[in-house]
Amino acid sequence: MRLWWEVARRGWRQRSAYRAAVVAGLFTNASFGALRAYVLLAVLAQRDTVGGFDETAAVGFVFFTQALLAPVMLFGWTDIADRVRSGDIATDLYRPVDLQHYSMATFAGRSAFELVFRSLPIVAVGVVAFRIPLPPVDLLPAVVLTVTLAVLVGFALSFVLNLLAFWLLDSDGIATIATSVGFVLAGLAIPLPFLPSPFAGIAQALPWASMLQRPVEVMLGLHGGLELAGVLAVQALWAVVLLLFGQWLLSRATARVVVHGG
Amino acid sequence: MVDELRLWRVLVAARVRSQWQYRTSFLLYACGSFLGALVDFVALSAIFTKVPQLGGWSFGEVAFLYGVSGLGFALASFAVASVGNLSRRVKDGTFDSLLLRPLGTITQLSAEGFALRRIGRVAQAGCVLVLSLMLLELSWTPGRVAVTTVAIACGTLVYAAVFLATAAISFWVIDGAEVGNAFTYGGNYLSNQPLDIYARWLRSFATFVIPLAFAAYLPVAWVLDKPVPAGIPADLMWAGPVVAVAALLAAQAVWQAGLHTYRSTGT
Repeated sequence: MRLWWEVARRGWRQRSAYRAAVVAGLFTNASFGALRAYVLLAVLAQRDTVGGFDETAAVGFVFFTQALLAPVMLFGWTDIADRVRSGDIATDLYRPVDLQHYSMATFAGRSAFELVFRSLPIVAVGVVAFRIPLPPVDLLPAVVLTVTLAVLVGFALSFVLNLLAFWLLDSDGIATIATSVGFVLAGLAIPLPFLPSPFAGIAQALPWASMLQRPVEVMLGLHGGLELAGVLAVQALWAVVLLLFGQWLLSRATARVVVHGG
Repeated sequence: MVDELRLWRVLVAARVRSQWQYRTSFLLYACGSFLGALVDFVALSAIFTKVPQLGGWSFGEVAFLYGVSGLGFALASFAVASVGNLSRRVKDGTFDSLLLRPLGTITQLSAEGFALRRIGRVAQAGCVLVLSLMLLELSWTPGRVAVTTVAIACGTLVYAAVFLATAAISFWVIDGAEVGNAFTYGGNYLSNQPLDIYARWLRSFATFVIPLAFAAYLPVAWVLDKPVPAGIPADLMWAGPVVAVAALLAAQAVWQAGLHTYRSTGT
């Protein structure tokens, strides 16, 4: 346990070392939040709700998704793929710890830092500039749980995508496509209920929705009781399935590795 | 200046030849870039399955705006987006090597990182533009053709200015490069939508601070006969080319100022 704590702390420090980058990222995320908010407001000026989203929920939605973007790392977590290409992965595999657990601890440390120093300020911008609603206090345990699960799904999915580098020499192509797909399927481009009906339903069931769309719905208080439990269960299911799949892929990948000594 | 452009062309041609050697890789990347950009337009189209218009503009009209704005952005990105590598160059100290060569730093950076695959984004914007022309059934008077063409050219210059000015931030704040995305990609996102939907301060910002309105919104509104909201004098549109050139000169001045404050780490 001590080991994972120390690894996570290193992950935290990887982010905290570059303060200007944190401010820059925060500014960019909040700016996109404002721009997206105006587009959704223009839609809702013509009708009261779309798929259960009214004006308040829609504006809250864009700021919460922008806030969660960095912690779940929808874009560009390529640490392992980079190390596979450079060959550094051989060193990682030497370590007497499981690569997935080790990466997860680093990822958790980084996400924790982003949650405190990026997500909270973005939400604050939303509250001040657009008066977005904060989750009610009695919902806080559910919010903590849903965000934790979102980060876990984010890690598990990235890990799987990163491992593909063992099979493809050039994994940048996969990363580009995964980013574009995730952009829509996570609900970042527009909230999933704004998509035409069959697509919206399908997208809601895929793992990307568990990273942004679903947790943000929970934060907005759109789900209660059994429905809430269902959302959390689906998130947990995706986390477990993807983590196990990652573990299996890792065992296949390590069996393939040939290290050229030097 | 003429020499500089000639050398830029030679360097870029060399990059193109080298990237063309790996044809499959190039095609995959170009398709990826096309798809990545396409997804963005698909999301915008989805909105029109829920409502008939956005800020008073129909789907065809928004698509036309998106095409014009997107084409200017894609061409600028194609030509100079790699000046964004400045951040990495300053950080790892390799920027110094550029200063030793008898060629401008902007020319070197944009030629060196030239990526042929960015043509995918140009293709996407072109497709959207063609789609919108089929939807709109406008009568194409010479005036409309001229204004649209000039708008795309102005857009290229304005976005190139934004790429340069925001990349130059790295001269002052090494890790601040991500701020640039808010103005480059954010600026493009902003002007893909009719400015009518934004708050007044944002419209003024996009007209008078960073002249994005000249890159697409004002000329497109003129071509489509759309009313322009309060806060933007519509006749300003005719100043587009002057504004675009001024923006580029201003961006270059920012870059030069950054270059003067640059202190090498000396390692």
